[in-house]
Amino acid sequence: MATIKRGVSLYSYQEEYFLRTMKLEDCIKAVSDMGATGVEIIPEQMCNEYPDLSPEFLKKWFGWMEKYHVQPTCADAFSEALLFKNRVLSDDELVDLMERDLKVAHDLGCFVIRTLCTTPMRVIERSLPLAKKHGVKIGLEIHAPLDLGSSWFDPYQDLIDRRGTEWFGIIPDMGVFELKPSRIKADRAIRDGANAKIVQYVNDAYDAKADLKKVREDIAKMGANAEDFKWLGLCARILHTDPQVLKKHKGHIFHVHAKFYDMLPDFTDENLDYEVVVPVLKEIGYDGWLSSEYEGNRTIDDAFPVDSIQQVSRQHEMFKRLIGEK
Amino acid sequence: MFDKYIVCPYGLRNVIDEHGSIEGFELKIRIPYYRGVPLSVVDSLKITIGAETFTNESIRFTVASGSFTMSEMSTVATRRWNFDEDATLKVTRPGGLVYFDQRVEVLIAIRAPYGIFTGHDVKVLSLEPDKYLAVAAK
Repeated sequence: MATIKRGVSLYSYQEEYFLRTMKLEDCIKAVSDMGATGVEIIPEQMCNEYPDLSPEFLKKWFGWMEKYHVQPTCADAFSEALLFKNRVLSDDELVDLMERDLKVAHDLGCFVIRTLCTTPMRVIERSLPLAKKHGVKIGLEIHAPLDLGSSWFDPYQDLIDRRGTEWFGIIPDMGVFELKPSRIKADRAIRDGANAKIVQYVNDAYDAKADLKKVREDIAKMGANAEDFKWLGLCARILHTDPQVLKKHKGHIFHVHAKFYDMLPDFTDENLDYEVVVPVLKEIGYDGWLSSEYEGNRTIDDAFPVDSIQQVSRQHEMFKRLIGEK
Repeated sequence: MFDKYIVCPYGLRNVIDEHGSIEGFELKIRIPYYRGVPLSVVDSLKITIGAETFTNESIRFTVASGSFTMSEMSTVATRRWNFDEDATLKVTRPGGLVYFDQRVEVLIAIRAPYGIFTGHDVKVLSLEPDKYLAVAAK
């Protein structure tokens, strides 16, 4: 029976890569070491030859895929619409960039590219023949604050109805299923100058589903400072889409960005709703990748060493349990 | 993001031109973003040393793929600053830096398609041995 597969976006190891303690091969090995098999990459992050990948580089790349028993999945593209300061790129130029990225993805052996929600839909539609030409799908990333269940998606549903789902689909980012304020972000707010007492008050109010307008008045009375209000603002923007909405998207989910900020030592994530999300993905027969995207580094790195390998490994322990992997 | 890594802890030194006079100083920086970018999206860059600030014409930005003044950068779409790469900033300041220990402040903004990533870093660095732009070596 088809089953959900485990993968990692090498984005997850960006802190170590940036600090030059892990090279590209080390990142690929880290994926393999956890028994995961999918490798997602931001070519602009880890392929310095982008956008013209040389045969020498590609030979090394596919050599690593073979050596570590993994396979390329998704290449993340950016559609640099603001390439110039004085104007936005034209649709023609954006289609050219899309083709460039489809070609890079093809060279890397990826089956899909991630395009950002800032890419105009008409550019995506015009690029569909190019997707076919290069044999690479275009996946629209749906990232917080976009809501998988809202009418925002209607024009894209219309595109799917008109053009099918062979070359266009979605890549939901699991950050849209956020349950509660994350502990590491709260701690960071306090390090940045928020009052621990007020942060706790806001968190309790959030858990109790209190009216945040009233909470705002309450903390003003408690003497809240700018960082306290910033924390309240951050909590007010937390998006928890009902995971059941994934059923509506059955059939056009190409890939999943398994975003997370902090995995606990007991292999649970108290911040994101994976306990519900993964069973729903199973129920709808999703047999693509859960591709880890660790993003806690930027929250903790002012005060703590970052261990991306450990964080991603913990998430994969959780996935093994939720997927039912033996 | 990566703010605390922007100013490299190494690489601050005076630069001596081919005529033997100190034309300025240079320092190295890292990118405050999670990928490499075309140089044209390095939206702004400001260096502050003591009471002096430097921008635009007075900064020459150099990476492996090319070397441009900050005033020129906005048109450079086909040369890239890689994610893992130090950029060298040469700042025109006749006489260079005088004090051995310098407080160096960098404010930088990267224009991503979905918003601006800003970075800010301040470090106290010690001057390394001068760099000579040697004519003799040519």
